[in-house]
Amino acid sequence: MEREAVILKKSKVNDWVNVMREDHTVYGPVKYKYDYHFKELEPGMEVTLEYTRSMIPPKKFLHPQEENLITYRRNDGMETTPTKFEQKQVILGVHPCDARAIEVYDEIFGGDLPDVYYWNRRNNTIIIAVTCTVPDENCFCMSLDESGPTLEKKGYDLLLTDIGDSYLVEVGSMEGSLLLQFEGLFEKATEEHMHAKDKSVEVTKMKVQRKIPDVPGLHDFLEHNYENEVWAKETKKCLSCGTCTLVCPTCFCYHVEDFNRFNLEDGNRVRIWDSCQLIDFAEVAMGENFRKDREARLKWRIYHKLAYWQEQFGTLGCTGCGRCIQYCPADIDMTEILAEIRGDKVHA
Amino acid sequence: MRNLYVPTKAVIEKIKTQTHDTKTFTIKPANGEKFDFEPGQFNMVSLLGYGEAPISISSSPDNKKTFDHTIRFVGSLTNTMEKHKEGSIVGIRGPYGSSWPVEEAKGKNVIFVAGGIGLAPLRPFIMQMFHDRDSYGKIQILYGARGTGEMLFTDEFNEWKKHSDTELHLTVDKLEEGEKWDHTVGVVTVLYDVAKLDPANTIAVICGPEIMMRFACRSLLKKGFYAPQIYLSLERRMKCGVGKCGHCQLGSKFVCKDGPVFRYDEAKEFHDTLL
Ligand SMILES: Cc1cc2nc3c(=O)[nH]c(=O)nc-3n(C[C@H](O)[C@H](O)[C@H](O)COP(=O)(O)OP(=O)(O)OC[C@H]3O[C@@H](n4cnc5c(N)ncnc54)[C@H](O)[C@@H]3O)c2cc1C
Ligand code: SF4
Ligand code: SF4
Ligand code: FES
Repeated sequence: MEREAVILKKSKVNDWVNVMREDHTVYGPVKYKYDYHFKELEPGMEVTLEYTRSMIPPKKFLHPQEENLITYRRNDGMETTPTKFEQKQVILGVHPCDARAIEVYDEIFGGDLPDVYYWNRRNNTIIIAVTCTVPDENCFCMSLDESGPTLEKKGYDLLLTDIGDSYLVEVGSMEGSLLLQFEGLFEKATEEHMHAKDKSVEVTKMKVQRKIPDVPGLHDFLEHNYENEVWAKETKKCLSCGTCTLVCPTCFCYHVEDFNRFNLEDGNRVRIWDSCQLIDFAEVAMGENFRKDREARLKWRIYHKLAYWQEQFGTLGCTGCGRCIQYCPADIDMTEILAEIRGDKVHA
Repeated sequence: MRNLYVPTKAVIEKIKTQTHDTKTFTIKPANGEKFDFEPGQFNMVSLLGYGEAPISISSSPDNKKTFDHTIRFVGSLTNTMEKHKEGSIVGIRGPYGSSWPVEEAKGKNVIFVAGGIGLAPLRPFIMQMFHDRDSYGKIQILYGARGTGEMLFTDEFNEWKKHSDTELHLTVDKLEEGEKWDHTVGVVTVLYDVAKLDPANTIAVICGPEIMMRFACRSLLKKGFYAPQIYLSLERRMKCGVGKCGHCQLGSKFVCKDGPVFRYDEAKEFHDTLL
């Protein structure tokens, strides 16, 4: 058998979570009000592996919204210990789009100047991905990666795929296989199970309807259409609220702030997610602001992700997860913007 | 893995007043280690409780024991710097960023065009050329400021002019009533005619407010310069200095890592600049 895999009955998922919890902190998607959120799985909590998307992507476990960089005492130096991990963290139920975004993060926080806070978390993280079965009308992963709702060989430690009353569990790493060493939970997978997975993936792929055409041509297309009037029209709707960047699994920007205690001696230097959509993001001394116009900011997000990212990190800055479309309060949709611009060109 | 965000302790050795709102701080790493940098690079200057700010290095690269930061007091961190005394401790991370074309300039004439605080990042390059004077052709320094009281390094100007084949041309935007001034009045580009610029075998390096760099670059093109002969240093908001926080991004570049020094032909292609 080419792929290393086992079978896990759906009825045993919670048992598995419970045994993993003995040595790991386990997070998974849980329904809360209208949305799914990754939360720490505690006894009695129901993890849902069949879900469309979480509001905040699992990036929050690798690049948390707030991270303490330095604890200082102003007259007495500083302490700079990255958060310690007593236990490894398992993120269960990561969708392929979000797993790809984590690979993008590895590039951003890696490179010639690796970020120790990120890697301290990353090296202590086990990713149990799950093949997506319920894409909705906002998903367009197929335009960005032909594996779409599943992963091929990389980006996961384990990969689960729903094949009826059980999950096919494929192994992506040594660390992943260690999580399969529990008695009585897993059965051997057969060639048939593999076929069941391939079939299910084919069906799901058909459900991903939204598209960005001609992805390799996007850079030139966007540069060519920088002055297109569609941008001004869309800008009129935009609230510059920053939701699109907050929910985006590849957005990484942060600002840094010192928080002093009331004794004015002790404090913390903390990094906090920031958004290029907020007005002061690109402001410099003496009040100069290079993206003070909302249109410049709206365009920057889309150009950064679809035109510039490739040169910076070797991939696009969008995985097609659909979050920015679903959560934008003003119904701004970059796939529609692109379509509208293309339409303009046809009619011109 | 080295922690990118931990500043090293450094001691302010000397403070020199430049103008009513700008001082030069001579700084020495507290561990006594030598500090190597290229002209045009910057440090993140760190004050616990006030954050960090990108500040260019303004001293000669030949001095590896200490380095200078010439700082204008404009906000919370920089105003706190103003209160620092000789012997005070600051944090330093760096040096970061790209440098002026020190090597490419060898054998060529070099024109410096500076506006206001923009002379500070150019000074290491000027010092380097003075130190190795025979490796370069003619030096023309064109310096403009809003008023006579806004000019930096004025006490060194006589020294600068003593170097062979070196010109220094000054201009201010405006004079006070009855103020005496032996130089030009007007924006920095009026010096282009005073200095008789010749594009042949020359490079130009520019630093100042972006709007000033816009006119400085465009006027050079009108004088027959090609964009690849021109270099400039861009200022963008910076929170990390190491290509992680995203604030300084321009097109596919991180100004902190790929810049701040860019060649004009590259810089003018970016969106969201005044160039
Ligand atoms: C590469 C580079 C080199 C520089 N070199 C010098 C120099 O040699 N001398 C000098 O005096 N100044 C220099 N600056 C500008 C200096 O960094 C800002 O004046 C300083 O960050 C303001 O900090 P503050 O806390 O005093 O001001 P704040 O109280 O933070 O705010 C004042 C203004 O500064 C802006 N600002 C805040 N943080 C930053 C930031 N990290 N980067 C840019 N702008 C910011 C704010 O938007 C606001 O408009 C340089 C900037 C860059 C990018
Ligand atoms: S840009 Fe939108 S669709 Fe693309 S990865 Fe970010 S949130 Fe998802
Ligand atoms: S789109 Fe904006 S917030 Fe997201 S990574 Fe790019 S600059 Fe940062
Ligand atoms: S200053 Fe943080 S990325 Fe450039």
